[in-house]
Amino acid sequence: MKFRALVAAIGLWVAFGAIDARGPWDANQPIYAAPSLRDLKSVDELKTSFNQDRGKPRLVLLLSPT
Amino acid sequence: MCVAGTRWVQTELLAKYPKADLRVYAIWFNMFPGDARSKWPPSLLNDQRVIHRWDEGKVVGMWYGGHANDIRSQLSPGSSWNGDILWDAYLLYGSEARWDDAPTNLIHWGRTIVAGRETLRQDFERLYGPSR
Repeated sequence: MKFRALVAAIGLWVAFGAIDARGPWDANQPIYAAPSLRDLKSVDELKTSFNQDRGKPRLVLLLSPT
Repeated sequence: MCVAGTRWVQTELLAKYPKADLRVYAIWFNMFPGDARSKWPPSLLNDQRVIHRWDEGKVVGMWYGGHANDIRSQLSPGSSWNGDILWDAYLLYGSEARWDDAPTNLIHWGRTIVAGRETLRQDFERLYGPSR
């Protein structure tokens, strides 16, 4: 009986978010996808994205990786 | 130096304007002998508003290099540029910008990013208000 009560208590604890896959220290932080790097083949690809995002300011960064 | 400018954009702009409606295109390409796609630092610029692209042919840097004279009047104070391939640089466009032959509504551009960062910060303040 005590064992069942313990299992039920743990179940409730998990259900209400006390335990999170990310750990309790950052349970309130949103999960973000890791950045991905895709190939760019032409300026037109950037141009298309640029025009699709019209309506918001846009920042182009030209970068080298080191 | 490119890394320093990129880190500054992440920590001093994107992190301080987390709700700013903005799109960032990070175009990466080789410029130093040790550069390579495998050296891309994914954690350096990890804001969700950033789209990362690898430009093996440097086509974007060459395109901007060829158009630099057309936009020289919008070069940020402290910046300078002469060359064929524009890199370690930023270009900030307003919300109404449209790219037909060339992008319109350029607010400012800077090279290096570090050299032009104060102008970029001021432009963010004008667009979005004081940072948090």
